[in-house]
Amino acid sequence: MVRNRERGQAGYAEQTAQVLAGGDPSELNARTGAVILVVDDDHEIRDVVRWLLEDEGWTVETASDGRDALERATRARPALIVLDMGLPIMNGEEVAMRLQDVYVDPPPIIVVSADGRAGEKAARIGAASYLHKPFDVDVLARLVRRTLGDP
Amino acid sequence: MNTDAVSILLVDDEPKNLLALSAVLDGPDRRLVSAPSGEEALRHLLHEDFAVILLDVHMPGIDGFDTAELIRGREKTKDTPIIFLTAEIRGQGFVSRGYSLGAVDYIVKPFDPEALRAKVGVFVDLFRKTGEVKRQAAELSDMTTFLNGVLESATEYAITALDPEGRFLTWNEGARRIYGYSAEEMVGRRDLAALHPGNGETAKKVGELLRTAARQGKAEGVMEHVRKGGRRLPVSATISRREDADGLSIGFVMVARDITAQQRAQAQRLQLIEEQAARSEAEAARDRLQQVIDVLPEGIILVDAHGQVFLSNAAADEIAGRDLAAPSDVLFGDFGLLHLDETPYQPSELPLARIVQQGEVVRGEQLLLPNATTGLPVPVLVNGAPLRDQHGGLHGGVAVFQDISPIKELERQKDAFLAAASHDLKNPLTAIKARAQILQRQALRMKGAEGRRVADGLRAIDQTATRLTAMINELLDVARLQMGRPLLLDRQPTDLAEISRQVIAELQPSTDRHDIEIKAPTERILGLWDRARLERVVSNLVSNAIKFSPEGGRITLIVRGDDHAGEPWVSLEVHDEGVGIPAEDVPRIFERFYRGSNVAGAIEGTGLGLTGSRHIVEQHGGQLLVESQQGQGSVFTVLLPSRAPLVAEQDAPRDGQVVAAGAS
Repeated sequence: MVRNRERGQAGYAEQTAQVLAGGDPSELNARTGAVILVVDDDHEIRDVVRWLLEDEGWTVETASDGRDALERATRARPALIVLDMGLPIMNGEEVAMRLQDVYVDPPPIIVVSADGRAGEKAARIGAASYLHKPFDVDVLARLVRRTLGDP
Repeated sequence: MNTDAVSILLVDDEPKNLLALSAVLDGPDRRLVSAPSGEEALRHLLHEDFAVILLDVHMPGIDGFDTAELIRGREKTKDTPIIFLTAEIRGQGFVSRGYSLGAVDYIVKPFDPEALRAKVGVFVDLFRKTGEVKRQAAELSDMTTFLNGVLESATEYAITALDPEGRFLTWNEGARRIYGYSAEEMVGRRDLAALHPGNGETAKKVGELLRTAARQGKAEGVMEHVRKGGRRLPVSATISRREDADGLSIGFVMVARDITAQQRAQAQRLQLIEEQAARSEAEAARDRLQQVIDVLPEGIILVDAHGQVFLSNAAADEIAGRDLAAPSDVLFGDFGLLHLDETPYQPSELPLARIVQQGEVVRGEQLLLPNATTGLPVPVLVNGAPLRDQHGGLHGGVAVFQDISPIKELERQKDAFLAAASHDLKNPLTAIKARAQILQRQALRMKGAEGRRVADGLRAIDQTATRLTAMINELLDVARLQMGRPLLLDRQPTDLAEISRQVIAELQPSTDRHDIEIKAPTERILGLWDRARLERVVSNLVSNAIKFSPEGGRITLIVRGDDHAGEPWVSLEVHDEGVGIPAEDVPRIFERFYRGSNVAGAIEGTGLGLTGSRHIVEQHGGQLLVESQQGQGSVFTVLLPSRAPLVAEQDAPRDGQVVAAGAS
């Protein structure tokens, strides 16, 4: 936790530096096109992650349960899925498994979990990376950028 | 042909003579055959036996003498009596010729009917009697042949005839087989004593039998005889008296049978009866045992040394959904047993196989036993031990097991509760932190002091939420441990030296009186550990060191890689110069809520930290040790097994990146 917080602060420093250097936040919005699917049953978390990622310039879609997530991800391939593991109707692990049946090369997934076993679950479904709740928004933003090849 | 009628052949060339003869000789028991010539007579003789032939001497063609000569010349008819008929006796030559041809009589015509009837009657009677004697002789011959056949083929019986002195007169094939002596060795040469040399008891018995047979006609008894070569054999013998036609004793017949096989069969029958009795006693004992174990709530099965299940109780059969002791090919109770992760048991892994084959005592093994009725695996807890005889030899095994579905269900419910609690507490925290951080970002974009002040406030909220998160994590761990559930470690490549430095960096600012330093190699001290929880352990130990050295002083962390029984281990020592722990308290300091007698009431704390720390370390397969002397400070040592680092230096793990699939 300590480390994350410090890293988080470093993240803000970076952001600050960027802003102070005259970078316009609206420039970040130029990243539109790649859709990120945010899946969480807690609407506050959906809202806040949408806020963060839209602030970062990404296009965001949300789903509140596993079945909804699978349907959306099947209808249109998202560039990335931020997937909570503890979902109603169909859990995150099953969503990931089913997507492997839908896509030969399924979209990358960032696993989010509240039970302290995000790393293990991520390894099991072959996720790109993982976060424990509560996470630092800077870390999430950085993982998204790295996963989508946008430093 | 009427067998009772006797045939008489009448030969005469004069039909009226034939008629006259027929009239005189006819009778109910006779058959008269007439022939008008010698040739005709001979033809009849070819087909039929006649009691007597009445033959006219003077006939045209072959006369009576020639005919008689031909009759005598044939074997079959050479003894048939012939009575010549003649009108006159012409001289001595005539008569002697007739007699030389076998004539038995002459009758001169005209004959006296009474005399003729009487003469012919004699021959008819003679013929009849001769026929009877012949028949009897033939029958007797048949019977003798039959009896000899019986005697020789009755090979199971020694049948011998004895003279009054007991010498052998006959010796059959059965006797040869039973006693080994041939007829040549015995007949006329030896007596009964040859069959029991030197056996006084048998000699006495034979004597008794002979006396009884002589008196009553027959006697029988069982005795021991000796075969040629010396082997003893039990026989059953019957001795009968033999008599001649006048009823005088001319000796004995002995019939003896070897009863070795019979006696053996008898002995076997007795043994069988005894075994049966023993078995039914054992079955009764088993029934009692069965009734006793059927009352017990735990499942019990017993196997023999071959692994065959020979006893199971009602509870065991109910858990398994089948009669476990029913005859089957199943060995060592392998009814499709599964490990808890549902992989099947290998034959050598089976608890009962280990018990019976290695004499192992099994304690508290959990496994899945498929219920044959529902098809569902039932979680069971198994205890078991070998069964030994009085001499300590292994002759089977017993396993006792109980259905732990309710316990497993309770564990599942506890886990579900903890997961839900974790989820419910952390989601709001996540929302709070994330919002505070995003707002902080935006505040920093604002120009001027106002924005900075807002940002500072938001950072304080974020830090508070972080502290709350740490407390909730610890609380959840405590809850897990109190519920008896293991911590679920999130193992990932972790550097113990780095963690130690971070903890120092975090805690040093909280104290002016302590000087916290670290001695660690420059390289990373890596292992697959749960990073967040190890942070908590180190933080707890350093906080304790600060807390329990209220006068201040030096606190030293020493991190090093080490070898421990050939395995790579790492250690972290936390040295302080504080109040120390009284010797009598040392064994108890890891107990929940226990606090040292020298600090209770004087130094703030709950007593939860060390307990949790020890659980975390032990669940990593490590140890948390303490050395202390009151007033001399303490040394806490964390020992952790380290595996070879999974990633090279340049591939050092970054935040949240999945670096190895085996990290779970």
